[in-house]
Amino acid sequence: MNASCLDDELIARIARGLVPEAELSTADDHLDGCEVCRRVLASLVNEGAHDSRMVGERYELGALVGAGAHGLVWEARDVKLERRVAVKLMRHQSNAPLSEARLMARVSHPSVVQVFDVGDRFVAMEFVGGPTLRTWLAKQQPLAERLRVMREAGDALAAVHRSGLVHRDFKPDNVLIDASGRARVTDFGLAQTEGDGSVGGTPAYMAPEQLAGKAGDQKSDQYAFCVTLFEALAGKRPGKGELPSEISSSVQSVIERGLSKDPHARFASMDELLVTFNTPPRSRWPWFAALAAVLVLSISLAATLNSTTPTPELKPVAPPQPKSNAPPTEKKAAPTKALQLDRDFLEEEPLIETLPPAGSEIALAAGCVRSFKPPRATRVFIEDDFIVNVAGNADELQFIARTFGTTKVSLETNGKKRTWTVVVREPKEVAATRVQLKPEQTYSVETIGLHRLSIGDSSVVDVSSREGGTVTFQALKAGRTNALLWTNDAQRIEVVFEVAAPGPGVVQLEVGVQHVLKVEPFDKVRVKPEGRVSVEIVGYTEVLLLPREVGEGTLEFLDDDGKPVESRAFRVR
Amino acid sequence: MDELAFARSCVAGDAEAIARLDREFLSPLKNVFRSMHFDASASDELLQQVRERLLVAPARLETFRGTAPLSAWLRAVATRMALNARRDPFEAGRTGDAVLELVSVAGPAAEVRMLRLEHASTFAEVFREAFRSLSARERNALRLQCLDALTLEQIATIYSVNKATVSRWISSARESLEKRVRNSLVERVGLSGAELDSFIVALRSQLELASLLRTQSSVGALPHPDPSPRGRGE
Ligand SMILES: [Zn+2]
Repeated sequence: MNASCLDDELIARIARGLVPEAELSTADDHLDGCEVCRRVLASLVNEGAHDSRMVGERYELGALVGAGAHGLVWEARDVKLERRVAVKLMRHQSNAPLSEARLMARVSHPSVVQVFDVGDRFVAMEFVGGPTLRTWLAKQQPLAERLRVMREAGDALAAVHRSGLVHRDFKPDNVLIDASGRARVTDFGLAQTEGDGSVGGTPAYMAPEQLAGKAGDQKSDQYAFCVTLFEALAGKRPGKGELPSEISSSVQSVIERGLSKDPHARFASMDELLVTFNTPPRSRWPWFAALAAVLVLSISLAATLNSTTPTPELKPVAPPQPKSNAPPTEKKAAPTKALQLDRDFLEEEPLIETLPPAGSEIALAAGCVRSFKPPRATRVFIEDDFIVNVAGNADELQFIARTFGTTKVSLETNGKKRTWTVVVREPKEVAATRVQLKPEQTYSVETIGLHRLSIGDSSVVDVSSREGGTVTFQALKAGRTNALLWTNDAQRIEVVFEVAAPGPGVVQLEVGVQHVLKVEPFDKVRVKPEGRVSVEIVGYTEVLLLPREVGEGTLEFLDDDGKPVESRAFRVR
Repeated sequence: MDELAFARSCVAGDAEAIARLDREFLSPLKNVFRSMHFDASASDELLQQVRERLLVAPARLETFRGTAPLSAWLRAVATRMALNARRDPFEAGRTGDAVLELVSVAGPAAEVRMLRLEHASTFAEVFREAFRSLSARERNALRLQCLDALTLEQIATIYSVNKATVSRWISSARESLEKRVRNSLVERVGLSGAELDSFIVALRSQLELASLLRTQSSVGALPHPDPSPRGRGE
């Protein structure tokens, strides 16, 4: 036994709270520097605590790093090999994608995310940690860099095709950019025909034949690659944007041919596509081509230099897919506000709910936790702990959503078993609420805890307080904006705020101060009481007001028939 | 002193006592190893080692004085051996930069992460200094909460105080961490406003704080091998 370490009997007594303060202080000093003793103590205190974070008996789940159509991706620790991995928990109980992933485990390519292990409904992969190509592209990358990354991704796709495998869901979200800036293609073959017979894939990137129901193959991967290539270069998908003019003709022809409706008209293989992709631009002026090459080189050099000292660039939090009816945001929300919200909603203190009646459904957003007040002396039975896990103590029973799906959770109290259906799903949209407020007024939304919130324009409306699951918004100035709330029970709530100008309709004036008022087209104007304000007609829809005495009144705007068009109250101070 | 007498009989080689020791005290330890993520064969092997250490001269069981329940003491002995058998290259190998890459879905935006990566080493250093300024108890309470996932109640049991007291310790520790980190970042890097906030966000997230603490604990304490007595891990 290590001479300086705490005596194990002492630790056992500390764990039970049997050690007086003086001795505890000394123990604290040792625990402060000795991880082993601290962990021994924690293990004794935590005796019998249920471990909800293991998968496949060797992967300890850490933070959630992503959510895709096929399941959630977690950062994890492989406790056997002591390395950091990414573990994807599959949404469906289907062996098809997993058998493909097993084959993928044999492919090794610098631009392919290495698959380490495939188990019952999970895939353990190399942990990349970088942004997706989509996120990376959103940060205005130089053209040469975008081409380089797409070439690397194309290489990866070609290498996998050479092994006889198919990706089936190639898109910017499945390409990661690692710490060294290299493209890393992930999620190979996982979109294979799902257990229910439906064909996986993402419609926007699917080839026509795939959309028609044919299973994905190398030719449809080629199509998806070209949609992505177009998007990487044009910033929009084909049909929605134009390729920049400086794109070489060889790259243009790659895109054109790869996007052929008829699979036979596409390149015979990704290898063949890459040959054209890599052809230097042909030019009638060879010196120009050489100059262009130098330019490209210097651009990519500059890009490399730049990437070592990235300029911090903050953007407001925005909903991933703004709804078409969302009002345009005039001004960008201040980044500080967005951060503020992020921070607030990350705070601990979960809302502890009362369990709903047995037999009912408990919905959870992917990756979220919902806490309930546990009944006494409870044993927990989980039908499928892949989908949801239950952890907790005497105060709190946490339902932790691990991947999409539906399962049953039972709690046994005094020999009596009660069962709930637990659904982990993507947020369901709740019909938008339209709220009209005046500045300073507030509006509260009650939720079962939030895991995300965004406000279109936080200078119009902002969060003034949050207590438990109740979020209170306060109107700040006239305007329109919306707020999106993602709740832990898998709802996406939209609130559209319309903030009216102070004292709607009442024109605030001051004696001796001119005021321009915009109104509906009119012909004549009448002031009641007469003379309180003198009016000068500036145009069809505009008058200049000069208040003469303190008091209230109305302005009546009439058309040439003498019928009122508009009436505005005013107040002179 | 039932258990003390029982321990003595085991050391003396009483076959019946040893059989009971195996059955009632040692075989449950397999679950302890499994919960520490040792696989079945490694658990069996470890259990064998623990058994030898307890019974073969110099028998560790002889050092049991009976001031704590035998089962708890055995669990402590076994956990310590398991921790030392494993070491933890995964945690020790984490760098500040890698830690800052960890994000949850609800975590800060990618742009903020970039900014954090840029100043990662400064931030790690600033955090380390701020963490050192806390009292040993505050540091331990934070670690027990964030790294060992103990509840406030469990931490309260250790220190024989009530839950509210622990809650106060932890929130004041977090506050002073935050204040120091904020001041140092302003002084050293000249950060302000949103940029500064982006770092403070990290301190308020349980996940990220845990990651930061993990790098701290690997600095402060590496598991030391059990058999050879050594000074406190540096
Ligand atoms: Zn120690």
